[in-house]
Amino acid sequence: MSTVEISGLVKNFGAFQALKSIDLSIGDGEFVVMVGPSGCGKSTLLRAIAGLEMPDDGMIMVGDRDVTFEEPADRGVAMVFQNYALYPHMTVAGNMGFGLKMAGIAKDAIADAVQRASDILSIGDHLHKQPKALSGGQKQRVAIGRAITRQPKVFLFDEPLSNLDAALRTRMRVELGRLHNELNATMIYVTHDQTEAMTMADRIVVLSSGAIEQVGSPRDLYNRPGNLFVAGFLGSPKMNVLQATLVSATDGELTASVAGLPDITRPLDVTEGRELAVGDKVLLGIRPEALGEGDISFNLKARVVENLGRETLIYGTPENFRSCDGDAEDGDIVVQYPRQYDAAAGQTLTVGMPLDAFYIFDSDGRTRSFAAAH
Amino acid sequence: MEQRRFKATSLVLYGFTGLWSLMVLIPIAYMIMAAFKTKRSMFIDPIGWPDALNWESFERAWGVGVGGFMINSVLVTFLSVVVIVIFSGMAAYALTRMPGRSGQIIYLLIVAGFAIPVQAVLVPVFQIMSGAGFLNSRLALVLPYAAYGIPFTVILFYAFFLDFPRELEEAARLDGCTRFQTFLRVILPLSGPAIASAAIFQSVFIWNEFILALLILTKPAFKTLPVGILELQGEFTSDWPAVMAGLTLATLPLLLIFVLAQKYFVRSLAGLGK
Repeated sequence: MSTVEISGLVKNFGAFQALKSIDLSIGDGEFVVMVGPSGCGKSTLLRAIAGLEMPDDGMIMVGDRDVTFEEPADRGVAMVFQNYALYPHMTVAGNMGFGLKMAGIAKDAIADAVQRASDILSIGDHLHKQPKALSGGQKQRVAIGRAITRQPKVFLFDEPLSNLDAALRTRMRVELGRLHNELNATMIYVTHDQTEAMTMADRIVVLSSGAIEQVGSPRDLYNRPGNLFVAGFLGSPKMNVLQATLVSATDGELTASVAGLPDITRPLDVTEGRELAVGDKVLLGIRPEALGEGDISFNLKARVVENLGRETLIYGTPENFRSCDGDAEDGDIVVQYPRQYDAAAGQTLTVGMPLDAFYIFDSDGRTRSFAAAH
Repeated sequence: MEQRRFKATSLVLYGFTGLWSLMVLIPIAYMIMAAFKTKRSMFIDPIGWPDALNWESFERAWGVGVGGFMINSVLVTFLSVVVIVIFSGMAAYALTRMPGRSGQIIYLLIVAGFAIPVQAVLVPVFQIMSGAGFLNSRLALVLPYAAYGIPFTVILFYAFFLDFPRELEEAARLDGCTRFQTFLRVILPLSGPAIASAAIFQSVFIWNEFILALLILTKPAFKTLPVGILELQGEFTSDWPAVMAGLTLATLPLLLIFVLAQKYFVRSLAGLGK
């Protein structure tokens, strides 16, 4: 059984607390992606699972075995590094078989294991080559092959695609998905790229400042983010956020007032959290792709227009209201059309806005109302 | 204006480098030229060209035992360099991987040790070797040479290991290597340039070392080249062409090594700035 159970994991680097009591359960054969901004602790958590960082407190179980203080090689995990970490002085076959060689496995068995892994990854033609003779994509395949050869219980990936160009990254992403299906192995993957997280994960773990913000399926996290951080982190461009004041909080409904817009009324979906009262400052969030058509419309002076082929992003200043966060400049918002859209910088556009596409966050940043599905 | 200043700077630099090269090359050229002179022409016209390619001085030098001295030099140099590389490599690796500031403090102490001149410790070293009964043995040279060479080589390796990719070590740990196995199977095979630089630099120093060898070695059977060549100098006369021939023979192996591995030698010095 290849489950991973992490409980109360703490890691300090001097006075800096990198991991603040992490609890996480990963199921057998699950593909879990850990995301978060730089310094959030995602790599530290992965390295703690690998045994490359010793935790200050807490426990890590792989299967039914406590591996918290075991040596990396004894944990039944294999890791694929961002920079491949292939031994330059060994051939591809040597790299892939090194772990088994160190474990004292017979030469024939090593050769068989290397051959099997190279067949899965289609790198059989490169087995005799040195890493320096390989392209970036081939090196990454060899690094994955090295992990496969060891037949670990859990695969750990530390931003393995970030050194590849965009086209190769997409290809390798698909290939990793295929590999996961083929091996049906437990995989834990760290990335800062939310596209990788959204496309590959069975479950995403969002981390911030050494703590888990939310765990869930990609769609769940995207549609029902637990707080403003998760809502802002998932989605590119970021969610538009407006400052508002609660004018009503009764009968399971919240009504917020934003200067320059009609009042927004949404159901109270989350009752836990601080008591909400009239006059409270709240934040309203609306995703860029939710704008375009809707119940009301507003004028937007386009500042930057990005035509991406299949979609168009327009960054601009709304005539009647201002945003308080997001990818655009202060006060600006971003609109995402899922098609090619003829617009130019400086032009004033009329943009539709569905009033049920708003999220409401309380002053602690906790989501209290989710947007309706569009 | 800017270009003119650049040209002037280049001219000064080239001029200085040229002069410096001449200062270094002239004695070497003279040594080789004088080795082919006869004893007579050496006294009549010491700076003139030799009348003919006269190999007799090489024969005389060889006759004194240059061959044996060379073997001694090779043995002492080889053993010392092996000891220096092994111990410096392990020490520098451990120092770069020590948690906290303890590694840096020890490193600073080692660097401070490098500042002590050989002459200052000659007498204590002689007494230690004499007390241990090592006088007139190769070990009596290998040990102090290694001790004196280790600080410099630690500095050299320290800079190299600081930049060594940690992921490779972590990959090795995941592959089941202990610290020592990681060092032996991953780090050492990839430290070729640093080892070559250290070995060449130390070889040059040890091969040419004179004063300690002169103190410790009195029996001809153990003498190294720099001390052995002294045999060609009598109390009242000196066979200068033979001395020059002996020196040429002594210099030749190092010159060859330098020409073949020049880039490592330069790197060994350049690496200190890291």
